[in-house]
Amino acid sequence: MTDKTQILKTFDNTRLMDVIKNYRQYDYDEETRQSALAILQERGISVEDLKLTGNFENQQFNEAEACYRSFFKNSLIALVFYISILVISSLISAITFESLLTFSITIILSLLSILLYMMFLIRSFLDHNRLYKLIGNEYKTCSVTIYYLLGVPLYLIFYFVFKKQMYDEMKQIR
Amino acid sequence: MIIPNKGLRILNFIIDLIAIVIINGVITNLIPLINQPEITIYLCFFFYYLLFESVNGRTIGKLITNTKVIDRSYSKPGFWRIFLRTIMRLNPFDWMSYPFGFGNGAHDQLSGTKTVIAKSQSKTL
Repeated sequence: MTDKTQILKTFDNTRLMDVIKNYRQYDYDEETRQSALAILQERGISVEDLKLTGNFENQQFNEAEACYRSFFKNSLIALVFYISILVISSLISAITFESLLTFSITIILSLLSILLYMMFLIRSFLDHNRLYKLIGNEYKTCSVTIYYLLGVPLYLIFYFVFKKQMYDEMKQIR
Repeated sequence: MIIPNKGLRILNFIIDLIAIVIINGVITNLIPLINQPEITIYLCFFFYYLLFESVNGRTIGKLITNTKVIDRSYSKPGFWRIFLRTIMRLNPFDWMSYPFGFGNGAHDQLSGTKTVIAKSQSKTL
């Protein structure tokens, strides 16, 4: 019997249920969860009982995790386009275009990057807001409009801040 | 044609930004179904500049500071030129073209337009 199991055995049923439901927020592994499940089963509480009482899985956390994954994907793509716009903008300001064709291609690439950047930026903001709505921390429209406008030029900062903020908020879900 | 100084351009931007935030607030409050500020704010930003500048070459900010948008032939720009100008405004690095030496912003340069002080005031200057 491992030390972990010994410690878990000292827990009461409520605390064990909390471990089973929220093991990811506590940074426990699947093995710890299984040990907690086994202890509860020894005490006469089955998996079915846990499912019926909503203590087997944290549905809110699962949804929040889906939001976070979607945010991670969309914000990463937005960041790639942000960098590509930076490269194209630097090229435009540094190079004198001799032919109209090269200039036109650069402008088209720039337009495409801007449109795709905006698309993925909005999608990442939607995921961000969806997670906050899920945990009952909804934003008020007026206060965030400036914040969204600032997000366009300052996305590099927002990307890292949002990622950390969302991860920390997710950990608070019980 | 007198090119407005950077201070006037910043003032234009601030006035327009206030107008956009107000319009967005009104829209999202009047139509509760569109309670998605992440989308409406960018749509308001885009259509505000597109509509105002394509209709008379001036936004609310430009009306107050008596400036207007013209093309290379010193006339009112066409719709597609304003469309390009408006998309270029969404470039996250557009603002950087002001402190780093352009007479006009990057969205002016790339769309072949420029912002100038309108006639009535430029005569008095």
